[in-house]
Amino acid sequence: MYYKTKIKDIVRIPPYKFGEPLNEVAIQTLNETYEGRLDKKLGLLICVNAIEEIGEGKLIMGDGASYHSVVFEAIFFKPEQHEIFNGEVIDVVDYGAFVRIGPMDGLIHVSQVTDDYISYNAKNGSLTAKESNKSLNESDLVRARAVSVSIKDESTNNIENNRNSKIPLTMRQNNLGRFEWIEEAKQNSKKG
Amino acid sequence: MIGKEIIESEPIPSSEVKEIIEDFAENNELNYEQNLTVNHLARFKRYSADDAKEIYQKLQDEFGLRAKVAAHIVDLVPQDLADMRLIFAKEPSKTTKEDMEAILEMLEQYDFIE
Repeated sequence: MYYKTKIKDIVRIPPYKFGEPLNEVAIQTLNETYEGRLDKKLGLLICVNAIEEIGEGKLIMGDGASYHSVVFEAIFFKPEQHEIFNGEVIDVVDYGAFVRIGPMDGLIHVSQVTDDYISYNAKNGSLTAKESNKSLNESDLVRARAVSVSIKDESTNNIENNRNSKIPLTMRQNNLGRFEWIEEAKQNSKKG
Repeated sequence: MIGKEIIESEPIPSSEVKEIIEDFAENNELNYEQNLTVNHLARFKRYSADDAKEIYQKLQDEFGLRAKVAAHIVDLVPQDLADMRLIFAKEPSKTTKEDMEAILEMLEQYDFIE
């Protein structure tokens, strides 16, 4: 889920930007500072989009820049436990499927794809069910529920760190799965 | 920690996020996460940003839903009772079938974008 958050902070405006409009420079500077930042409480910062208040600049000895206290508005993406996501399968591997649920990816483990027995087909890179004719391929659109969410404080710019935040998903509940499966199940239940 | 103090934080519907990022893109170049977000949101059915805001408000004022649940409903564009039950399944408070039907009826007034 996305959040709009108001945050109080101090922004440093470098001297070479003194001539430009203050609000725009502040938005730019804040975006540069916090780009791709993942916060445990707030989630992933997507963008700083507005400045609510900006104070007068203060100078500090030994630094030519001015420091302004600021209240800014930012958009965050924070996945939550039990939240339902529409997502796109971006990669299928032998142990499951990676699903893009927004700016972050989640993983559906093979055991959580359907109630059926699932096997990985290495030839075309898909997960296939044994009894029903269901299969999961790259670029399929799915609906899944987050089973748990583990977010660590870090920056997504650092690839090494990015792997520490995990969002395991499940599709083994009613009305979850590939959109085609959901539609099919609904048709069947209507027929009775 | 981002910033010195968090003043307030509230859920917003994803259509509004899309609009905000698209406005932001007029003056700035989008980074990786922003591009991912916009592309992802454009793939699924959704309400227009104005409708989304209106529905989001209505769900809270008229149906007394929590902001989180209201945003969840707006994001997922439920079509029938099955979709509604999915959203309310993990809610601590029970929502009756009548309430869900009333919400669906309200949602039907709005067109969504495929």
